[in-house]
Amino acid sequence: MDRRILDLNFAQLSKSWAKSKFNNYADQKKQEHIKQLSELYEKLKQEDFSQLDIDDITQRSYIIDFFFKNLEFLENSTLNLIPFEIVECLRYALHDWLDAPDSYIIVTSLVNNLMSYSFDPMLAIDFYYPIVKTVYGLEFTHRLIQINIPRFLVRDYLASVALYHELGHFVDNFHEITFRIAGHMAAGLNNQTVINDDLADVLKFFPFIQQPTGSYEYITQNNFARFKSHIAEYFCDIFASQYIDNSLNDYLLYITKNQDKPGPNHPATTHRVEMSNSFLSGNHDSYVLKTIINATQIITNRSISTKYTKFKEDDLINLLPADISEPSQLHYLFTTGWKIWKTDFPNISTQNNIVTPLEDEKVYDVVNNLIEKSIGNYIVHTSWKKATK
Amino acid sequence: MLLQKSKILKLVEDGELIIRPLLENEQINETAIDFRLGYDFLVSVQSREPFINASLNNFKHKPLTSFFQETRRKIGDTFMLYPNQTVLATSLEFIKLPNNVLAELNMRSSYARLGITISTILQPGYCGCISLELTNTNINPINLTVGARLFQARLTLLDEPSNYFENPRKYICQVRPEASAANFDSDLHKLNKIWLENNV
Repeated sequence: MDRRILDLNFAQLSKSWAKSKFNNYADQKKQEHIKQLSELYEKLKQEDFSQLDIDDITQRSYIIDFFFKNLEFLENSTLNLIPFEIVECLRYALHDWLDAPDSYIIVTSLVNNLMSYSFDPMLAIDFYYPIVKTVYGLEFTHRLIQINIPRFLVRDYLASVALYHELGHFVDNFHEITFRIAGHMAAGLNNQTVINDDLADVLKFFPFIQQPTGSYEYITQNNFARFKSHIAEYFCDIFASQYIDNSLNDYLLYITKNQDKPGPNHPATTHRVEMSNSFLSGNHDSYVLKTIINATQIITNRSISTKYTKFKEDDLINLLPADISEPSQLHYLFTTGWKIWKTDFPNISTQNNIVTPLEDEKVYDVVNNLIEKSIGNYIVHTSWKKATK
Repeated sequence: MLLQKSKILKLVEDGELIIRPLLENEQINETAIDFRLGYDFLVSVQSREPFINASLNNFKHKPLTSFFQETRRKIGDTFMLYPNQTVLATSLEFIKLPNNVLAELNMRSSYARLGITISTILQPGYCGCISLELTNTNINPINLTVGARLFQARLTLLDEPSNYFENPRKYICQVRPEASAANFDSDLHKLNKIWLENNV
């Protein structure tokens, strides 16, 4: 690695940091994180890069990557940009799955691709942090859960249900759920303890697995990564279903064009939908589904089960924000929104004496506005109660 | 007839007048309801366009939204209102009025004395957060607290109910401030036609 390129990389960072360091966050945890980044910046600045050997240069380069990654997400997570209300719902879901959820900050990056909901694990896992600690002795109080959101859909509370799936990826990474499930299932397949109906179930949901011939096994070094990432997708769909019921399914089928063939990283959408519908219906006969449910319980000591509670749905139809009294009801807002969009939308006009029925664009606004306000009111109420104590 | 506290409370109790969130019952006083400043703002900014065109004549300009910039706060944060700057805000509360009650809005006296003005009415049956067009006539900037009781509504009972949705509405259930939709007024098309006949 060329030291002058490291100099260039640091100059690029300095330019970006000169602006970003003044960002204001209405959130103490983010402010604290910025302060710690500031300490890291000073350490980098004080260092004489010309004295470094090749290994040191590589490490500094990783640290600058880490810094930029932080900026990428923090820059898009100011109150003006972050979809604060949906992130708050995700934060409540996170509390269900971590013993110390407050050690994490959910941040968002707005990306231009319309379908680009995704989770980036790099600032949540032990990759950069040990390097920063080894080189500069700095420890960060919080880690970042980075979620990419399409810029155009930042205020879309219908499409946002995909974020529950992305949160599932973080929870999966954190507890190493699907890594362990994949290992367990691979062993069962290869030593032929998974047989008959169970085997048929595996081959159905992972159709890329070939019947072994000769000394070959079902799961090999060649297909393990694909096997694991498909299990991860199934897990995240089930994870999301706990909170948003079947709201994601139709959207998923639409954006993947009813994909019925498995891809390199994702199972066929038709199989994903079938899996989460089986989970929701309580029909847990599938070996794959049963394994995911049982293994999650054993690994996390938490059950994967419905975690939303219903509220008076009429409110939204009557053009009112829902009166939410507990976090589990927040998740149900998304399901209600989808229900209105798909089937109940004519009731908005009939129940409110709207003489000229609302056009779709207005229904879209009304649903999004009411969901946003329902969440916002819950946040305000909670803050007010805390302050009144 | 101006509605007094007992009547207003009865409407709230019966679910005919909806106010969400109603953080304190004390917001309903003898002759009015106090409303709080919400957390979303549209702030007027200078644009590359030379002026705001609220006409359809020579309509080649950018939409009116391009003269405003969105900014958000959290409850308890502050928002600086600069002299002569137009700021669109909303009430913290989402309200739904009965179809026979009209609301007239005014600043609370404490804020009117600082030089902030609003004056508007809400038609019977209105639903949504209340849109506020705030102007600071003071010579000094004023720092406002999000969630503070800023303005009040006096409610008048009408003789006959009316249907808010008799005609198509430009703003329904708005929860964030929305820029003017003046260009969408249907009569502007007729006026534009007249102008075209006379000038083109």
